[in-house]
Amino acid sequence: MLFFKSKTDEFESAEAAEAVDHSDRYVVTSILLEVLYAGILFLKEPSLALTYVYALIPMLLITAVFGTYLYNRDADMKLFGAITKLSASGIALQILVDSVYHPPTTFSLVKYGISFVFLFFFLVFYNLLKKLLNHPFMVWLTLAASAAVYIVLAVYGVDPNGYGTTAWIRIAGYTVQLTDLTKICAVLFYAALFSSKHEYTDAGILKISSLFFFVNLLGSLWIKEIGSFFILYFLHLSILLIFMDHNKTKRIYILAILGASVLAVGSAFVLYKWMLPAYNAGTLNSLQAMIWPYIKKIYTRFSITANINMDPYGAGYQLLQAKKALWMSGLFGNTVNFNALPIAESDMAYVAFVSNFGFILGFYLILQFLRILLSGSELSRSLLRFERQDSLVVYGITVVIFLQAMMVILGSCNVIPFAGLPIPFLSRGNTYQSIVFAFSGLLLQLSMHKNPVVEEGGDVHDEPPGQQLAG
Amino acid sequence: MTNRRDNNSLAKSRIRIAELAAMAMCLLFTCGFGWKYIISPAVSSSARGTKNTITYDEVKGYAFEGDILDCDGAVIMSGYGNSHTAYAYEPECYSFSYLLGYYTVANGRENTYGLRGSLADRLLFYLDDDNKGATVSLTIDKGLQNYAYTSLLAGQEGSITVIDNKTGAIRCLTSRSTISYDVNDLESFLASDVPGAQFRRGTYENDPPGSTFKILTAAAAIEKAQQENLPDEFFLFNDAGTYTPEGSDWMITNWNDGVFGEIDLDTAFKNSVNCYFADLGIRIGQERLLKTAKAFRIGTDIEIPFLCTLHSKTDLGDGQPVTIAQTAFGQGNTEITPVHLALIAQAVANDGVMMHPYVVKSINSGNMPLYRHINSRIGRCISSSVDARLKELMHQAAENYGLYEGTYGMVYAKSGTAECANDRVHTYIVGFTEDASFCVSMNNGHASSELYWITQALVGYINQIYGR
Repeated sequence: MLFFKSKTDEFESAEAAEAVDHSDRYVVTSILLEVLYAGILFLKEPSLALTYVYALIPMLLITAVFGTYLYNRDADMKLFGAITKLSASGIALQILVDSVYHPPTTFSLVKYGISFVFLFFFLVFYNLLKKLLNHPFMVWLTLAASAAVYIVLAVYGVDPNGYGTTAWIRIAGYTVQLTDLTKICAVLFYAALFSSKHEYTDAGILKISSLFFFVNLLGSLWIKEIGSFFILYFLHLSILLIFMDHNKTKRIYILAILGASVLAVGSAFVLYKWMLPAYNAGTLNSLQAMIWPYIKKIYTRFSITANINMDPYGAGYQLLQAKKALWMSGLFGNTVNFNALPIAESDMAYVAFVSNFGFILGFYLILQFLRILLSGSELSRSLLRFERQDSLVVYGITVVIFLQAMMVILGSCNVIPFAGLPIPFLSRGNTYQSIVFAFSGLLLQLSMHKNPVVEEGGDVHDEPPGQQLAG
Repeated sequence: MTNRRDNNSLAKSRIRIAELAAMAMCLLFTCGFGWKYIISPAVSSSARGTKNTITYDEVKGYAFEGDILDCDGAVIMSGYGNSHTAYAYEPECYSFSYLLGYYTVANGRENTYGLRGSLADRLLFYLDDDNKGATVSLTIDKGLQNYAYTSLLAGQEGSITVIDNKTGAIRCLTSRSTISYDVNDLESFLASDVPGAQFRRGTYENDPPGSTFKILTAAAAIEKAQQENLPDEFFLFNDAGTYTPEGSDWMITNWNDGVFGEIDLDTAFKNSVNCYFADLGIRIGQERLLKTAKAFRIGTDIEIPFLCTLHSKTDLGDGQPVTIAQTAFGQGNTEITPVHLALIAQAVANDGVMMHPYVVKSINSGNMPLYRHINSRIGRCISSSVDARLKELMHQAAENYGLYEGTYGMVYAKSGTAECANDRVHTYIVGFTEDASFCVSMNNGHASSELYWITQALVGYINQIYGR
């Protein structure tokens, strides 16, 4: 490939080189997919293809330039391919959404530019912060930052979309979803906790992480934004499960959290049945009136998942329309101009994508999300050998991206209770998009350092070289 | 440090387990949704019904059914005012009704019949920018179809099929019944309680072929004679007007109790002598007779894309002479549809090669082609030499039916009168011109001679549309 440094020179035989690296193909396949979307959009509506071309030109440049840069620095090109393919899919979808569904906002290429700027600042920020991350005070600083986000939202938060949650603040006419920052705080918190110079005991880790967990729980309840908390909930459990020592206390703790979750859902059902007559009669007391919205939300979400026809024109409407769209999608997208899909630009982005581009590409997106998880996981495993802090950051980021994607996709397809959140790469939402880009950039940057430089006399290996992962 | 190192090793294993769990989740999702939304609707009628019901309910308020055109692009059925369903004017609304059928959804169930039923996913669910369904072009000639329905089948119960000799394109497939089914009015179809009135006669009526089967018996005999170098005497028979197969007391008679004396194949075929063919069938043998029937795809399902599958059967039981004799002159246990008989004629017309029949030429949504038929052969039924001899026989028979060469050009035909269950009589004339093959089929008649004038008129019209 032109511009790609030959990685075959260092091998004596062509066969050996052949067996080693063809990862430049991930750049090529990304470019092909980006161009394919132009063709598909042209078939649907030529004017859409023209709009897409405005995005395609910078997209091709970015893919080619960054792809070459990362390839030449031995970064994980599979990961790069997945990120660029998902990004292209998101842009193609969002351009189509404006034409088909007429959402309240319009697609903006400028916002993608802002996300790139944020990505560079984030990388600089992380590289500066990295040196401090294993200081004990960082645990408390990230915890405090999380709490501060909720306090700011409780005081200054706004609800621009009328979803009943105050997860946004307005800055100079722009709305920023601050709850997304708690995900950055969470990733940094767990990295600091597990890589701290001050080695915490198991009990200490459980106590401090529980405190972080409850700060986020209370904060989410306070601003009525439960969706984001689910991501932190699973991040909390998975980090403890994977990175904490194997012991009885941890097992009991995790089982207790899971048990409490089941109990909470069960209690919500019981309380709903118990409080419903009083609610209908308008005789809820002040405590009941305070918890009623949460009880009702939990009851509705789980009930609708079990029986979508329970309230087809109310709480179940969104999912019912999604189900219709999925039935009509076929391999290459629906043919009946179906456009009655609510929030196609955000929560229902995956269903909208399948509805317009078909199940073949829809399943391909799932594979790309899985690719991110596998690449991130392998990178995390690889970094564990010499940089535990980076390993935790990588794993946290990977879990946050993959979990959020799958939770919303499965929820919008009515497989699990639906959480109204944006889908990484696919959904509109500048704040979240910026954070996803920042996370992706960090993953790619760290993937360039997956193999440590071994200094003379140094030893970073904790296993025989033959067992080391290629990344 | 040692503890942290051990912990790292454990963490690596746990990450690997998490990877496997994620892969399993994605695999489950992909397989589950692929099965539910893609594979099931393709293989299960109930899943397809669910999908189409959902789609129909969603689009019925804004979608307009696509147009249906004939072979020359003339409109058979198209949009009408603000109506979301297409409309057919007279006489197309009657002459095409059993071919076009309907598509409705009621109480969560889809009801389908004919082309509109099987093509609902294109006519109703493949919309262009104006929310109009795809355009379906048929191979049918509108003028021929209307003429066959209004003039040739008027007051009768039966069907007329015309198939292009070279391509297998169905140029006419009209059916007339005891009810006047108007394709614009489903009630006119459902109101009837007359048994069998709702069948499309050409494709669903499975009756014995009558004397039209003698084409196959003759083909088998000619092939045997050619392969075994049999003398001309093989085809001679002394007809006494009756014939009793060995080992049975069932006596076969000729039509109208005719007695023909010593006759050869030409005379027997032209006069449709039952006793001759009963004897010839026994001399040919069960195996060869079955082989010829199989070669003409009797007993094999033949699909007409988007319309239906033709079923047929032949059964010589334990091979008793009486069963072979009955089958050889067109009774017995053989069952065949009129369209299949027209296909047999098409194979003879086409040098012994049967073509796949089709009625949908193409489907387009705007400029985008969705379907285009490609001509294909079902297979060779008989050799060219057998075919040439059969043509001689059928041409002589056609002259006997008033299809004179001087008037109609080269026409080849064979009539048939089948005795069916409940004393019902089914009459046929199958044949072909230089261009197209046909089968005129009539129920509740008395003799195939009643079809001569219809066939003559039909051949005249076929010659006209082919420019002869």
